[in-house]
Amino acid sequence: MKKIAYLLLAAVALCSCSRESDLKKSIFIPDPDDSRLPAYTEWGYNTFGAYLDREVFIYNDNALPFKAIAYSTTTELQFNGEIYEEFHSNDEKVSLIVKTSSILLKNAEDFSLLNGKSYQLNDPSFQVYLERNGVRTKLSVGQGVLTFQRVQKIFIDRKYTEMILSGYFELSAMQNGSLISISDGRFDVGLKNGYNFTYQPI
Amino acid sequence: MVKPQKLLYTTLLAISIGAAAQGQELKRLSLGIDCGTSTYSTDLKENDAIRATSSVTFFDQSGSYDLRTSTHRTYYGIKAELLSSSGYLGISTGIRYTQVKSEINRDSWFSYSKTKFYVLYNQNGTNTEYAQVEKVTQKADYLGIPLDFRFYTTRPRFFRLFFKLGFDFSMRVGNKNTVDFLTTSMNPYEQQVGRAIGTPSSVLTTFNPGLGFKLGDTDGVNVSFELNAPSYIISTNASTFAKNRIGIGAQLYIYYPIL
Repeated sequence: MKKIAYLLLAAVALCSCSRESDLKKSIFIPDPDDSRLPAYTEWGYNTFGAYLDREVFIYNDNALPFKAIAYSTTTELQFNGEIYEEFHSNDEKVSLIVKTSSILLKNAEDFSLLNGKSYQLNDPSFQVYLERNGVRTKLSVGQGVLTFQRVQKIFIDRKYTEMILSGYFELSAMQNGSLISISDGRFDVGLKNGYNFTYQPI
Repeated sequence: MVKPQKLLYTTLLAISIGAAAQGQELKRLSLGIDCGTSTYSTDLKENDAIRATSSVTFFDQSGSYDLRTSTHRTYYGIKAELLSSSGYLGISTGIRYTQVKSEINRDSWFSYSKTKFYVLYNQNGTNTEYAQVEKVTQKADYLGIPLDFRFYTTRPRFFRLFFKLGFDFSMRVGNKNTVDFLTTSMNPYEQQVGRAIGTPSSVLTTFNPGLGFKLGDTDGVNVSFELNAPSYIISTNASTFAKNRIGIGAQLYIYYPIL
């Protein structure tokens, strides 16, 4: 009887694994060169990944992988995840944050204007931060680029639903006197007003 | 010394057997109709228009483990069979209409999103349009030539067992993708979504070894029934979303010796 109860519990647990709508959940398609990283895609799979030095910095299932907060004079873009650990989840929260006055937005649809554009992260209008377990450190970027390879406005059954941002990023920077490198970064994320995009007119 | 009476009986018997053999002279060419069906085990094939529904994991090497596919083949045709002089080998060919039907839908067991999946059907500038789809049925019609080699285990008689090596080579003459949308308001876009799903290959080749039996007199209507296992679709793109693996099928052939 106990065994049956365990089996039922396991079945319920399995059923609840994917109780997230398709467009909000992350879908991991491995990169053919390194299966720890997500492949570059343009479907809005809500993934990102990069090498942080030689570790893998990747989205996780707890945090929203991408958030955009627009203010009247700046915009903050956040990639939220963790350092990949094989076979177990890493508790350390890691975020890469890009703040800029070069991109001014009022709603998620304004990202259409960024389609195909690249931004140099060492430009004075950009500030880049690395946050580990809530401790935010400003990076002094030597070289770096953020590319919005493709920005799509998604209509589902003819109705506007969300934006999809796909692209690449990499940088090398000084952090507390040490050189760090973020390389082979790629992202494919959905963006929706009132969900992971907000406009704060202050 | 052989008794004359015995000799007479023996002669009469030989004459009657000879006459009977003359009457049942083997007709080597038969003409008939055949029909059959096969069903195949399938895996999902990556399709540029179908959004993945799940992550690739160690256990699930596909990004859509809950998308289910299937493929069935049905065919009808006219076929002539030529028997070898010994009657042990039959070679048959003719003309055959084949329909390959593939389906894709989503298993609702583990999914909150029930049975829908997304098909990308239009991209224009930065605008991208998806349709929420419950099922796609892809039908491709082919016209072609079967080629069967039947190896009979006995000389011609009422009941015979045989082994078969069967092939067919066909050209596509039509196809249609039928889309079941989540909402009926999308029905006017069926053609557009169907086009995004793609068109199956223009050539179909199948290989169907089999085992069967035939019933019927050498000069009357014959019925043969066979089991095709394993059955294969050799063409790689017979479906734009299903990889066809091994199959099993059956064939019925009704024919009449004419020459």
